Amino acid sequence: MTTAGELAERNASFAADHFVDGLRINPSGNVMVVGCVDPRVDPAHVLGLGHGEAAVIRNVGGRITPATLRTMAMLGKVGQAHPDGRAAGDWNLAVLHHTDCGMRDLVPFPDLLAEYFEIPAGELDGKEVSDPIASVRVDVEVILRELSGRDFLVSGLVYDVSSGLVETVVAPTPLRSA
Amino acid sequence: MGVTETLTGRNAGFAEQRFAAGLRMMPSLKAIVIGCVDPRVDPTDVLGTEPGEVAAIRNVGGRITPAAVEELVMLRAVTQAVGGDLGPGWELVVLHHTDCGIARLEGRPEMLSVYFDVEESDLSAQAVGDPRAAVSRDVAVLRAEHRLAGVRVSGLVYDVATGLVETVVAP
Repeated sequence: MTTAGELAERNASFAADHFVDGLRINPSGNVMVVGCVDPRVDPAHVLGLGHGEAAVIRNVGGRITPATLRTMAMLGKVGQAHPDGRAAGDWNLAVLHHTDCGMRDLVPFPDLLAEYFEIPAGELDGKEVSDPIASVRVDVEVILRELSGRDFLVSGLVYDVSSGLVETVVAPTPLRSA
Repeated sequence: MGVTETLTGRNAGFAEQRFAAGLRMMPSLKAIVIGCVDPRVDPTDVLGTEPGEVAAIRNVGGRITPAAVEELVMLRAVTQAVGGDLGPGWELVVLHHTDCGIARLEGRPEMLSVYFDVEESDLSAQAVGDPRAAVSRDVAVLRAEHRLAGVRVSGLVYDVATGLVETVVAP
């Protein structure tokens, strides 16, 4: 059987046994996670996200690229279109990087990385693609520089693929007010 | 307790009870799911994937934009760097869903045209209001991508009202 066929069968079990009716497009936990595509670092698993609780962006490295920021802007518009569904309390954005990220295998391909970050190849060192502690700090800084607003916290987490544990590298930090 | 502390607390439980050492960067099912950010449509939940089984890209709508294709090309380079290749034997599963928020952006063509990297006048081809049409289109884009030749591609649509996935484009 193909993987798609296998996954469709698993979905039938999900629909029969675990489907929750009435979930909303706005995450019930006021959480957005930006994480990596890596199969070992699924935010649903490693952070124990409940069904409907969090919106999740997954890209190469879990990076805050210009494309990620554009995606967030689009999601902000979608959220504004559904104001009733917004849960009370602070909005929480967690940037989740991890050890042994395949992104460092892209160091020999500066053209790919430069296009991804939309910067000249000569500036790639600042993106710290081989050091998750440094890279999550870089990306939280991008958020704090590019976004503003009230009741919005951003944190930076690093998952260790050898232990399964997450370290809070940047504690929840409020955006500057608009 | 704040949300971040709640999540890191859950992670401690995961690490203690569920963490499996020795998983590989390469997905054990040799599959990549491209799905939406929507909290109701987490591929992990609705497709029942286990840690290490599939890689997942999640963007607005689960769409095969030029940026998504570039990410897949980056993932192919990573795969090659660890001694494999993202080619024959691999699967890409495009997962769209009903009631997708991207339809709420039809009034923001300036955003969508940047997202899809097309002229505003060509946005109708992206079928943002119709998940079955959109997933068919995105599968066609992947099948035409020479840098991903040999990869098997399928298109699924998840119904948020029933929890069921429909295979719109078979692998």
